[in-house]
Amino acid sequence: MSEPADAAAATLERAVALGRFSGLESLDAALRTTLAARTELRRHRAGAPLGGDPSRREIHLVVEGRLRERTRHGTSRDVGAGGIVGDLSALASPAEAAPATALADSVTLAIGLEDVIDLCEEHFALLVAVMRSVARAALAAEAERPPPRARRQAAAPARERGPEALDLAGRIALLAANPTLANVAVHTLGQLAQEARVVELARGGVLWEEGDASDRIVAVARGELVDRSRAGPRTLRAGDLAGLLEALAGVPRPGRADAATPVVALSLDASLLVDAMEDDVETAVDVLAALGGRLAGARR
Amino acid sequence: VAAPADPSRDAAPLRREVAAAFAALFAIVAAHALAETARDTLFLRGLPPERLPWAYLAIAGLVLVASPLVERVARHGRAAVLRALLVVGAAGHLGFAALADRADARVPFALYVWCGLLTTELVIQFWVLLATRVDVQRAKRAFARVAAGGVAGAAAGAGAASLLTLALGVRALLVAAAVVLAGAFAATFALGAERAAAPRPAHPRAPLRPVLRDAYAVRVIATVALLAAMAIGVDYLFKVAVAAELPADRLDEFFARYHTAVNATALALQLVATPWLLQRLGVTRALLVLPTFVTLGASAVAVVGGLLPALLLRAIDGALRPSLHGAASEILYLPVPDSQRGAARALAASIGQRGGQAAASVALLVAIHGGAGLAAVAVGTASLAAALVAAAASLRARYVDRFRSGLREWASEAPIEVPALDLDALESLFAALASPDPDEVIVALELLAGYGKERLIPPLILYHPEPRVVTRAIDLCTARAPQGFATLLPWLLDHAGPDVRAAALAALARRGELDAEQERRVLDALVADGAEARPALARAVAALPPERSLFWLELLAKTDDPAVQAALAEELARAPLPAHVPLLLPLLASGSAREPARRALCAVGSPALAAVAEALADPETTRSVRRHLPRTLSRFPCEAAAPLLTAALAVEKDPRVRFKILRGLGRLRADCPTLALDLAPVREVAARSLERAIEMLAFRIAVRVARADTSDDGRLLARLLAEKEERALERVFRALHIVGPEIEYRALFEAIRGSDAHARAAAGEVLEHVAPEPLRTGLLAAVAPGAAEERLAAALAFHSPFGADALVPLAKGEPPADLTECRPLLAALWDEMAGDADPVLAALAARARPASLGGDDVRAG
Repeated sequence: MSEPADAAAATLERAVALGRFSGLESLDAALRTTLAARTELRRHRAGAPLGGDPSRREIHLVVEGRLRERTRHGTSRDVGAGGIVGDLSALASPAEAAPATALADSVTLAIGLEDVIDLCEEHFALLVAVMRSVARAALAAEAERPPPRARRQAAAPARERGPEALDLAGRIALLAANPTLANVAVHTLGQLAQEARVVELARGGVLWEEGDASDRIVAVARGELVDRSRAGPRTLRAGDLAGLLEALAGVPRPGRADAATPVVALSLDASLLVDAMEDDVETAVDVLAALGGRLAGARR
Repeated sequence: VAAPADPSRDAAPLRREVAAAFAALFAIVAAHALAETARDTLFLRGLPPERLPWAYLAIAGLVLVASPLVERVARHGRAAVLRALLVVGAAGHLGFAALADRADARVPFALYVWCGLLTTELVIQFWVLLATRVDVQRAKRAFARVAAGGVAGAAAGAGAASLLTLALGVRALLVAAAVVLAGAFAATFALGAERAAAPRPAHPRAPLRPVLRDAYAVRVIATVALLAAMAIGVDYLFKVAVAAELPADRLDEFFARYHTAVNATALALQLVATPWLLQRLGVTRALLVLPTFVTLGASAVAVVGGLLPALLLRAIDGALRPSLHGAASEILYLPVPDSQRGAARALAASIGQRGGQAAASVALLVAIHGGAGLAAVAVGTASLAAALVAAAASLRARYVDRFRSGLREWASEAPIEVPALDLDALESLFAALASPDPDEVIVALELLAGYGKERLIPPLILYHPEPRVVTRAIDLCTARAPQGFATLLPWLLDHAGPDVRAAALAALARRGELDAEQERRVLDALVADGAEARPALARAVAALPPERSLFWLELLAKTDDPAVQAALAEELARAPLPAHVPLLLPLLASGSAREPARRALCAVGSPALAAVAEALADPETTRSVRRHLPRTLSRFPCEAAAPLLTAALAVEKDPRVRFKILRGLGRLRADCPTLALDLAPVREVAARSLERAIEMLAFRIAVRVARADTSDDGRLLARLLAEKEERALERVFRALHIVGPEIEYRALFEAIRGSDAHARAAAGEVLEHVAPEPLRTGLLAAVAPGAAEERLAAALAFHSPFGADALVPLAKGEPPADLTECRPLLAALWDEMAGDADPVLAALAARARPASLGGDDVRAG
């Protein structure tokens, strides 16, 4: 990609290039050029670090070439054209922002993370697009790797709840126990909980099949639900959420989900969550940060 | 919202600095009071009072010369310069003490000028130094306390002067003044480090120019000039009356006692009334108090004459000027940028204070030589005081504007940036049309259409191998088709991709070029393609004339498939008709279809507007649709939508929909700032929301006092209450922004809830001046920094929620270990929470109810 000297042409070229990045395709022309205007075209020689202002947390949208990103956990991943270095996993924690090196001569569009957040706070459509992009990346990352063998040890397991314990307060407590929703405003959780419905599945019951519309998010209250959208099945227990990523990514269910034991769960309308985020941008940014954390976790 | 998580944060350093500043100012002013008694006594003993204007004039002239020099040096180290001035001052006082007994009329004259010059420079440098350390909200409290140091110093200095005069004579006063200045020197070392100053101006030789171009700063300087001129008049009236009525040998004793009494009164005022008055009246209103009283006092001197009115007039000036007026005047400089504040003060001291003094002195000299009596001088003084009232009143709007403009900059929006389409840009887009990446081609098509250049899209794009590209090209070019485009459309009816076939059929139908055979063939094929082609079928049908499509559309509109809903809404939005309105309204519930459905409804116009308003008023409308109606209404033209939204606001019961109505009205207000609105329901929402915020604050305190926030459920409840308080406040600010968009309430709220202490302080300052009655007291309390119980106590004047009066004393300090005494109150408050209309609050309150309060303990189950 060669950046023309003319500023308008350069912006439009970058706007066109943004079309390659998954999740951003729904942006209208004005928002796309607005985002493009905040980016900076960077060229990287093979073997060179990405550089830039170290005090400015940046993400790089890879237009040409290939880069290798290392995380502080010692893992690395290669990112080609259409991928994003840094992604928005840095939203979850600045420490996730990792050094990267060009494996081949590469071109990236760099944009400051703060710029992205500013724009997202002002333009909800962009926030939805960014969220979609992160959710898709997280889905892809999780699909490639088998689930962890043991359940995470850091968090205390959530209390199991039967249908009788899923009154409104019980529903809110169940949702608040999930790390992705932990920072979402309680009143927003309350709104979601009010309109949620309790779902009960017998052993072997199917929650959804691959290809179904991703219109609901399910919070497991009791029992074990198996999510088969990954390389290996993942067992979800009390406090876990199923279907959040694909609902936010705007893609059909990537795999089947069924009950390994009798399951009690709370089913939420995904569009209500998006609607709540539109009214409360801070909630949206919190969810985005949680998604970033999940993406970072999936890549470790 | 506004209160920091830990209200005691920064309190300790601030207390230390205030104590040090208090001590330094105490000593500076005490030294001045000691020297002043000696100065006045020696002057009136050795010279006639008619020489006073010459002394005033000399002080003014010397300060004019000295201040810029001191200011220039001070920019390199303000604390060091203040200390140097204190050393020079002490040495000067000792020098005059040595000369005090000389029978030379030049000595009392020089002493008079010396005292004026020294105190002026010391006080200026002291306050500038202090202003580099605190922001405006802290300053409002801190400056009042520090100013109390000055008043206490004056009282103590005058009291000491009384004792010293009787015991040791006038010369001892000057020695004592030198010793006290040495104490001030020591106190300056406890003042701490300066805040980081703004970068210095590029032209250090001309730092005064920006100040002179600043209308606000010029007005501040003008008020200083008027105040100085007024003070000269007051001082002259007082001293002439004293010289006329009292024998020379009693002057030292009189001055010592009078200054003691006046300064003690000032101290009492300062301690008791100044902080309270500053908080209640605000800065600019507080500035009106002194000149108003002086206007009345000088008028009394003019009318009645004699010693008593003159003594009272000087007492008013002496009591109010250093206390309330002094503290308020110092805060006036805070909106001036750090880099210009020192220069502004220097100009205020030179052009303002000394210029005012010089002008008043010259006017006095002219009046004296012209034979004018005391009454004429008193009338002139009253006129100056009245002018000061007018000038201070005119400062208000600019003072607020100054803070507001800073906030506007702070809360700037991230605007849409679309570059102009020049030839190079156009070439870039054409190059992108040839990209091997279909996503890039689609973006280039959308950008061309976004610029209204659809006619430049080459028709051959319809041969593109990627069906998404072809479909998007058809969609974008149907309305303004490039030449040759239409001739290719029939060929696409047999395309392999169902989306392409549907798009081609829709385009031909819109152009009126679709025959019945083509229509039947394409629709049959789409039906045969099954569920995957359902969105394509939806858009094909939606493009047909209503008489041939409504049956199909009603069937398709009932589907839950977001892709079908989105396709339907997109296609209906291309050529919306009134007949489509009943189909479009339910589509508002679908996230994927909402945006095009709104576009379609707006394009239909009045019939759709009426239908949307009717649906909002209809209690039968489903919640999933209702909650999207306010924002849909706000997309219609402002004049038509605004009355419908305000009417809905007055009757809407669902708080979530009410919030969306407020947002919708905010959008209309932003689009049409001059729009005439029925503001009564909006004001009502602001008042009710503020009451709600205060109720949530009281509940939050109750949760803390009951120690319920130690459990998971209690923490969740406490979080909810804090959020509800913040959201209620947000509604207040949204409503106020609709009522007065010029105030920029949006920026104020952003600043108040933000983490930038300066922006928060500035927002509080603006709010203090602009918040409308009767909300003002409640709003200021709700957003004030400080502990929750203090905010609640202050808010009670606006709204006293159930039990709040009794709760406030309980909440001060640590929550009581034994809840026996307060159990009935807490239980009653919990009942209130559990009975709240908001089911979320009610449910969490019931669940988190401490067992010690009795009643429904859900956790036990």
